[in-house]
Amino acid sequence: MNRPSFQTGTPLDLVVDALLAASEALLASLPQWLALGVALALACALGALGLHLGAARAVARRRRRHARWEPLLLDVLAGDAPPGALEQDVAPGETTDFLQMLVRYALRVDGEARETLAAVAAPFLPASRALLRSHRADRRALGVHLLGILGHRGYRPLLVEALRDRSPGVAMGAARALARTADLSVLPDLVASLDRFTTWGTPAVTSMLARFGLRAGHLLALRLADPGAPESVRVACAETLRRLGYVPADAVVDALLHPGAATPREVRTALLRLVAEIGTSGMAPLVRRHVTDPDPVVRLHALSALGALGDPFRDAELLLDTLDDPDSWAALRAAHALARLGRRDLLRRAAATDDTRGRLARQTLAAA
Amino acid sequence: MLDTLFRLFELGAVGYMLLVIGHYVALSLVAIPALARLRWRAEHFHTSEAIASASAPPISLLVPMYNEEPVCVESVRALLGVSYPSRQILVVNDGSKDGTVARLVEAFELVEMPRLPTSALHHAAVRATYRSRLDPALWLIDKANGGKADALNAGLAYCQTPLFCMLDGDSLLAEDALLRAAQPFLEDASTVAVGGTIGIVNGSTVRNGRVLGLRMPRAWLARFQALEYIRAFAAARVGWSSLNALMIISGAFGLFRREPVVAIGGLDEDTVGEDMELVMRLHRYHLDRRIPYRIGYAPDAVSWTECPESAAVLGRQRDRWHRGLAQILWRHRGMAFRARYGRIGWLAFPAFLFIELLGPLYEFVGLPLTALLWWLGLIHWPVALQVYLLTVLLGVAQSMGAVALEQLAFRRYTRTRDVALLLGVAVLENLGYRQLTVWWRVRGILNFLRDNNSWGEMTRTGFAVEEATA
Repeated sequence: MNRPSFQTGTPLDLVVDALLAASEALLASLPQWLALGVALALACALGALGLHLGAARAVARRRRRHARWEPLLLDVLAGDAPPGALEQDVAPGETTDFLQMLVRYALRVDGEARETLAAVAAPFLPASRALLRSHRADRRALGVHLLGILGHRGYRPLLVEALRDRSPGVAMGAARALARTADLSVLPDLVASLDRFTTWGTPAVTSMLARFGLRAGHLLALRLADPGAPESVRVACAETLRRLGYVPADAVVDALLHPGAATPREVRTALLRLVAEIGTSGMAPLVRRHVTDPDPVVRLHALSALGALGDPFRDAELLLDTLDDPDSWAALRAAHALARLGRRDLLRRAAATDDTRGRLARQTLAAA
Repeated sequence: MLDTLFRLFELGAVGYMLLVIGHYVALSLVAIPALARLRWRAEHFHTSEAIASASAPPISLLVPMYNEEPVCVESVRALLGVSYPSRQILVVNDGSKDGTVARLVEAFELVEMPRLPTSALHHAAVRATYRSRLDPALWLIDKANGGKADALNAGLAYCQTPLFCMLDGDSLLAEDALLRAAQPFLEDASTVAVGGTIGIVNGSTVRNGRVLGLRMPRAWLARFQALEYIRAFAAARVGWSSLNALMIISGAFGLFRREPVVAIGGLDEDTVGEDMELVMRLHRYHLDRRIPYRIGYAPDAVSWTECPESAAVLGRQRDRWHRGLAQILWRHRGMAFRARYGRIGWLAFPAFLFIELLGPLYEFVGLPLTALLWWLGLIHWPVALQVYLLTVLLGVAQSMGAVALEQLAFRRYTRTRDVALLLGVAVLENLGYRQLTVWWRVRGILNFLRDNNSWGEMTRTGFAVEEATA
C-alpha cells in the first residue's frame, strides 16, 4: 500500500506523516491484532470458567473437611475428648480451613468453651504468629484476627505491639482483639494509641472501649480532660463514658462545660450527651447556658440534656419557647424534652393549634 | 489529499477504539487487586463480627414508590428482614395512580400519625404520614407526585438518622447489604457516601424478600442486562473506586451521610440522573471547600432489582440514563480538566464524556459511514471488516473478563451453566442488542439536545415469589 505524503517539511506535515505511518503499521498488523483479540477473549472465558470451577471445588473441599472435624470438635467442647484429640487429624495444608472453622465457633461461644477452643487452636497458632511479620497489611490483620480470637493470654504482648502497626486497620484489629479480652492491664496502651484511630468513626472506637466496662472509666475521663488529645479521641472517650454510665465523670464534665473552658464544639456536644446520661439536677444551670447557644447543634444536645435533668416547672417556659426554634432539630428536641419531663399537658395544649408548633406537639405525643 | 484525510479518519477511528478498550482494560486491571483483596478478606474474616463489635450508625432507608403496586409489599417485606441493628424505613409514595398506598396500608397495618420534617428541603406537598402497627420502624410518607428526586427529598426532609440509604421501590436488599455498606463509614469517618452493587433478580425465586439461589434470567433481554450489570459493577465501579474517582452511585442502592446532602440542598429535581448528579455535587462541594472526604463503593453489598424485559421499557430507561448523563456532564462541565478537581477532573470526567457519553455516537455514525466510504471506494472492505471484528472481539474479551472478575470476587452465579450462559451472552449481545442500546443512547443525547426531561413509565411485572410454607 503506497503511503501518501505532503512532503513539504512543515511541522504539521511531519506530524501527519508520522500519523499516517502509524496508521499504516496498525492496519498492516490487523491480522495479528485479531489473533490477539481471539486469544484474549478465550483466555478470559477460560479464566472465568476456571475460577468458577476452582471456587466450587474449594467450597466442596472445605465442607468435606469441616464435616470430618466437627463431630470430634463437638466431643471436645462437651468434654468427652481432650483438646489435643484433633491435632493429628489436621494435615499441614489444612490449617487455614481448620482455624476458620474454630473462629466460626469461637465467635458464638464464651467463657470455658472459648478457652477450650483456644487450647484446640494452640498447636496451630505459631503459623498465625508468623503472619504478624508479613509485609502485607492484610496478612498481618489476619494474624491479629486469629490470635485475638483463638490465642491465649501469652499472645497479648504481641497484640499490644500490633497497636503500633503502620497500618491503622491492623492496629484497629489488635485494639478490638485486646478489648475482647477486657484485660485492664492492656488498657493504658490502648488508650495511649487512640490517636491512631482518628479516621475511624466514633461508634467503632466507642464500642471497642466499652468492652472494658466501668473499670476503664477513670482512664477514659483523664483522656477526655486532656486538652492535648485529638478532638475525635476526646469525643470517643466521652461517648464511651456515656455508654458506660460512668457517674464519676461529672467533675470532668463540669470543668469542661464551664463557660470559661475553651472546649471544642464537638467535645462540648459529646459532653452534653454525657450529662444527659449521668448528670444530676445540680448540673442543670450549666446545661441551661447551652440551650441558648448560637450553634444549633450545641443547642439541640443541651435541650436533650435538659429534658433528662431539668425541672418540669422551671424549664417549661424555656422549652415551650424553643418549640419555635428556627432549627427544626432543636425544636423537635425541645418537644421531646417536654415529654420527658412529664409536661404532656403543655404539649397537648400546643397540639390544639394548627401551626408548626402544633404539628410538632402532635407528633411527639403520638410517638410517646 | 482526500486519501490522506481518509487515512487520518481511519487512524482516528482505530485510535478511538483502542482508547475505549484501553480504558476498560485499565479499569479491569485496577479492579483485579481490589477484588482479589475482597475475596481474600471474605474468606478469612467475618464481617458480621467486625460490625457487631462496632456500634452501627442508625440508617433511614428511603424508598420512593410510584405505581409499584405489584412489588411494593414484597419490597418492604424484604427491607424489614434486612439485618441491621438500627434502621428506619421511610417509604415515600410519589402520588401513585395505582393501589400502592392501599396495599401497603393493608399489608403493614399502617395508621396515620403526624411526623415533622427535620430539614427544609423543597419537595411536593406531603398529604399524610403513616406508621406501621406491625413494625414501628416503618413509615409511609404519602405525597403529591413530583418525580423520584422530589420523593427522595421528601424522605430526606423527614429523615432523623445520620445516614440514609437511597433505594428503588423494587429493590430487594440482601440480608447483610446494609452491614457491608455501613462498614466504610465505620472505618473512615470522612466517608460521605458509599455505593452498593445492583444485581438482576429476574429468573430467580424470591421468598420472604430473600433471593433464593441466583439464576440467570430466562428472557434474553434480561440476560443481556445481567451481563451489563456485571460489567458495570464488578469491573468499572471497582476500578473507579480504587482510583478514588467514583462519579456514580446508583440510586437503586446508595448510602449517604445526611448532613452534607442536606447542606447541598438535597437531590436535584431538574435532572433525570439525580443519583449521579448528587455524587458530582458532593465531590464539588468537598473539593471546593477542601474538606477531606471519601466516596466509596462496597461491591459486596448487594441490592437485587427486577430489570425491564420489554424492549420499549428498556429503551426508555436507557434513553433516560443517557439523557441524565448528558445533563450532568454539561452542568458540571466546569470540573473537567481543572487541577482543583484532581482525579475527577482529569480522569473520570473525561472518561465519562468521551467514552460513556460520546461512545454510542461513534458507533452510531461509524457503521453507516464506513459503509458509505466502502461504497465510494475509499476504503477496502476487508480492512473495515477486520477493524469491526477487532472491536467486537475486544468487547467480548472485556465482557468475559468482567465475568471472570465476578467469579473471582463474588461467585454469585454458582451454577456452571449460568456462568457458561453469561459467557455466551458476551458474544451474542453483539448481534443486535448492542446496536439497539446504541440507538437508545443516541436517542437520549438527541432528547437532551431537545431538552426533553420526562421519565417515561416503568412497568413492573412483580417478582417470582415463593411464599414460605408453614
